[in-house]
Amino acid sequence: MTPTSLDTALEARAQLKQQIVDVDEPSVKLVVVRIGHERFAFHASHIREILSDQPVFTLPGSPDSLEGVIHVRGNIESVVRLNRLLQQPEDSDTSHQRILMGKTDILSSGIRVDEMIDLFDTVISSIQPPPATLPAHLAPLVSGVIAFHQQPLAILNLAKIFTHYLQGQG
Amino acid sequence: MQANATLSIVCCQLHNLWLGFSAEQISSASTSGINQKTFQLNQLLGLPPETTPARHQLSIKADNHLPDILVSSDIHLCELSLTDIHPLPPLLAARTTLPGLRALAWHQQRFILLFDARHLLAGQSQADSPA
Repeated sequence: MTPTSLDTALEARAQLKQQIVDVDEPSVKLVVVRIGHERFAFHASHIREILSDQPVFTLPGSPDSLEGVIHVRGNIESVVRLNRLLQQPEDSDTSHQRILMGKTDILSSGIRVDEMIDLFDTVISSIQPPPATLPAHLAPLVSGVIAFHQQPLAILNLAKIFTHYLQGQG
Repeated sequence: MQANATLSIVCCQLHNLWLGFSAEQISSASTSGINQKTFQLNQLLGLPPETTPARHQLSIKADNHLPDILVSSDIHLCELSLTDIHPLPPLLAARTTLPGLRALAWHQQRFILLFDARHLLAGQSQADSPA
């Protein structure tokens, strides 16, 4: 066995400490949901609240993707469905549906999702840029991709989704 | 305007919806208006007709002569506090096709759609009355 000097031992210890510091690299919290057949993620910093069993008031003169409005904590918010924008089918099973209260710098709105899957922390370095193979309709809406249960998971850019919706898409 | 101020609203029902107009826009609400030019409220909003006949005729204050609005429900006058009144959520404002929809109110555990009556009738004043 090679004799270990104190200097070598201290250097090795310093590297261990460095490795510990690396664990503290910047991380983000992601909310994983199912919309139609697919799973998507939102940055949790853009999700203010997750609601269940909230009655939605339907307004005439709205596109199908605008489910209605809700009165929540003294405010009136819209509730939108992203199925058309994401090209996902409507789920006939509504038993697991939730409303995510999304908020960006430009506006806030409820977002109907078919199922709440998970909420977890991940280091930013694990997020990959959107691949070139992403479907054309998703490319402008996805900010990154991460592995989730060995499957790629698209992280949606809520600000861009709202902007597209304001422009009449979805 | 003080925080405890209220807004007087002329409310009516269309199907299962509660709708309101600012009372300052309404000059009269009668069962037999004198204005011969009228529009059914559902027509103005592009909604299916009511099964009951028109009961009230709302006359709108305006510099130019506007048609009256025919309403099939009872008419109520209600006072909304400022905290009852909310601007349209931006995604709704961008996508609604309801003409003249200006705001929403949450009053007595129900939503009221608040319309600008003049905007609702804009473009109709020059048209022949279908009513």
